Amino acid sequence: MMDILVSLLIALIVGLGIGGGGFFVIYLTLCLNYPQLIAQGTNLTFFLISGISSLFVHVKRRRLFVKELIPIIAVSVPATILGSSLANNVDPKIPTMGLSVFLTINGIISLIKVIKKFKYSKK
Amino acid sequence: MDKKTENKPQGVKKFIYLVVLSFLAGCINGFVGTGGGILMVLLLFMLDGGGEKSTRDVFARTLVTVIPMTLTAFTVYLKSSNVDMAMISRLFVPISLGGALGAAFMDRIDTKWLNLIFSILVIYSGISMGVRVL
Repeated sequence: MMDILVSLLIALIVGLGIGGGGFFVIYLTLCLNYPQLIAQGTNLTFFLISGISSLFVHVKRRRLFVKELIPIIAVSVPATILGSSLANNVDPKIPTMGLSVFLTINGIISLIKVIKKFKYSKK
Repeated sequence: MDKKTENKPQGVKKFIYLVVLSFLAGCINGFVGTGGGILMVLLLFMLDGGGEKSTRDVFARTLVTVIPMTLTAFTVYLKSSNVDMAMISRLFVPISLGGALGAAFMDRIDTKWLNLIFSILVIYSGISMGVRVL
């Protein structure tokens, strides 16, 4: 039951554009003690499903200018193969540490942005 | 040249932004299993130059770029048996429902408070994760 509630909430957050599936890795590793790489792989699957279902809604409402995005996809997809192959072939502590640094920096940046938003809305 | 066009990076500058940020986004997404979207949001805002596309449009366009990356990384992790498919199949309905509902309510919800709570949670989780490894 807890898994269902947590996944629904995190997918909702993904759909709202607040953050990616990083939250699901956190849940799997810190709450369910999943091994890091399985948590990352499961999180990717989670994001794939929630992202595609969000995209179905967006396609109907927004102009996505997909053609402009093709060069970005052409560069990022091969880079993803490189990153994920590396993650699957090094000591799992390294991606864990990488994720820890990434989450902390990302959290601090988001926090600064949101504090600015609060300041703006008060003015 | 109007102001919107002025802010957009052009030519070589645009090419460098695109290649460097897309490459980094792909590497990070593959290596830590998340995070590519953040760099993509940054890149798409830069390429738009604060122009005609709204923040919500940029988020939607980010999904278009992140889904192929995620699909690619997923394939690599699956080949290495690093995906818990049993967990995912059990949670398929709430995940897809949550994603669609979030997108549907994106225009109606002020996400400031949620952003604040989750920023703090992310910082806490990042530090906890690091402490566990050390």
